[in-house]
Amino acid sequence: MKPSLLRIPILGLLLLLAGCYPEGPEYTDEYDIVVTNYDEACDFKAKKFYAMPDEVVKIDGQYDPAQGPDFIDPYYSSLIVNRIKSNLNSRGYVEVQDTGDADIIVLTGALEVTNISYSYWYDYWGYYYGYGWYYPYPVVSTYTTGTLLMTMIDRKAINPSGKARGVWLGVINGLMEGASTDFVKRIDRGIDQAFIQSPYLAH
Amino acid sequence: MKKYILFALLFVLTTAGVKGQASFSSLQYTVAFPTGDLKDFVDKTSWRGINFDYRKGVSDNVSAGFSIGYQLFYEHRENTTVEQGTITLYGDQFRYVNSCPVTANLAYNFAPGEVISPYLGLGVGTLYRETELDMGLYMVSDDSWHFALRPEAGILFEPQPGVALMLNAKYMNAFKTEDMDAANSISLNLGIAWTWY
Repeated sequence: MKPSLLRIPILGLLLLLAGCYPEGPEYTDEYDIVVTNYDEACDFKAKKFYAMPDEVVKIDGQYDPAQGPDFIDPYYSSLIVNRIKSNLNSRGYVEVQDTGDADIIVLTGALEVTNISYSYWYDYWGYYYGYGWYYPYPVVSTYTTGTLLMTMIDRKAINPSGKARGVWLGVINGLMEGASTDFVKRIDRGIDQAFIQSPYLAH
Repeated sequence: MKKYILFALLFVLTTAGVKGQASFSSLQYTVAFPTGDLKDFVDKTSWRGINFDYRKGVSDNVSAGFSIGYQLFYEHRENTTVEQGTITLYGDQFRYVNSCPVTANLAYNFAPGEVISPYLGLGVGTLYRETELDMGLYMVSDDSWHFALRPEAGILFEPQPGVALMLNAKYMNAFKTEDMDAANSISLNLGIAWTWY
């Protein structure tokens, strides 16, 4: 075989190896993560009664105490709140309507962040064209991430400045992409997982 | 980009038609099996690897040369749970280990000039390693240089002078560093060798 012919399979092998580099996540839900944390000093078994608002606060950094917070779409609020309640109830917690009767308050908030990346790749064309070219604007790509925060407050553990102690935190984070049905499934799965990985919450 | 540069370098070295005596260059496709600490991090066989060898005979049976390679270990771990203190983190993990060994080699050839020629060899050098763990939209990565010892055993099948098939097994012993665990693996390598005398 002549050396020049040998180069063909070698080059093919090298390109094949270079081309099969794994690209990581293929589906949106593979980006989802669930994080939980809790206060070791809290005796969760002694906290049986809970209260929680029926709306999920939209965290947008523009909170005005005089006007109150904004809330996310009522459809998603309802899904999230009901799923959390379902998990709490199945673990022996009892919902009360009057916050004065509650041992713990469960608060939920949602945060949406759009990440923007700029690409100035036109410099690369100089190798071919000689003098390059340019866009008058950068090429922009974006992706949006969503975060659901679930916070459990011990209503009876008030510090000197009058603030209640947070005893459990659940965070669900992922890409806000995909079909709405998948989106709902991912939220449900994330909430369920937050409770599954928090066995200390069970009565 | 680095991997393309490496592959381009290997391509040029392998096909450059170097002149010499009792020498060969070889390009091998490698399959690697992680062991020890590396297996704890990536518990999957790597099917993505390549290795280039150059050797020059210093006597009838002994040759000396160098070797450079690339191996990618990758694993997608689904639904993993990590606990640290009171914090629990759940999600899919994507684990990558890019390794690039560079060694100086000595080999003893038991049947030089025969059609089938078995040999034993030892490589000493370094292994550069990039380790990356992706979880959600977050990534943790690190890189390290390891001292490496790599014994190998193989055969050269040369039906006609000039071109040969090469098959060998290597044990990469990349020792642990102060900050990083060892990166050991066993690899099976199959390739083409160009010989000249």
